Amino acid sequence: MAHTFKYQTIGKSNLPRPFLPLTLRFQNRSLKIKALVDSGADFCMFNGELLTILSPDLDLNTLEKITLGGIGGTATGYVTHLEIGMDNAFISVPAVFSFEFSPDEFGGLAGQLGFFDAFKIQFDRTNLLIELK
Amino acid sequence: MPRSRKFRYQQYTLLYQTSCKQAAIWYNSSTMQIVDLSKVFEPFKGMWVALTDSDQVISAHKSAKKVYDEAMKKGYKEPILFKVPLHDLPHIG
Repeated sequence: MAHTFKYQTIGKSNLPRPFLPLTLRFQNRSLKIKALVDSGADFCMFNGELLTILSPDLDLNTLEKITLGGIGGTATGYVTHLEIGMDNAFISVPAVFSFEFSPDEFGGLAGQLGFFDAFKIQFDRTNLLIELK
Repeated sequence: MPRSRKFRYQQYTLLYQTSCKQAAIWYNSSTMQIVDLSKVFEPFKGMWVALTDSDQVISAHKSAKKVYDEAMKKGYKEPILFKVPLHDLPHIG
């Protein structure tokens, strides 16, 4: 089944970006977010605040801790395994939550490991559409 | 206020914001389809917002949990959480 979404823009820069609605499911709780599809991200990454909604009592010390690198330096991330859903089609992915997201980030990135493994993704920038199959 | 200049070349439109020194963007104006979330940027920059499926703002706060709880209180069972960036910057990565 193909999922098609329009690019979205925010702010005066008018930069069109491939956002899509994703449902995160973790420990029997689910949460819908708007995430950026980011082929430059190795993992699916989410702002740690979302993890506190999904699992308020989770002890971060029980999770694998990794260091993430990017243009702004490094940040600490916590590795979890959760389900990501789109239009009720769910896939299991490893995902990283970080409480050190830049204030200029969007809060959720659908990255290579897991997400790009599960879908054939076509960025159709000519028509400002993203299609996942 | 940023001033926008538009130049047309064949079917493309070049939008260049002079005061922001943003990268020039080429749109194919004949097929352009886009969802404009700009209405949530200025009033909510740096905050979390809960949105409806049609991108209407339900609640907004610096705390994602407060945004989520308020949307649930208002009766929205599946609000879409979105973190509005603090600054309107081009991203790389």
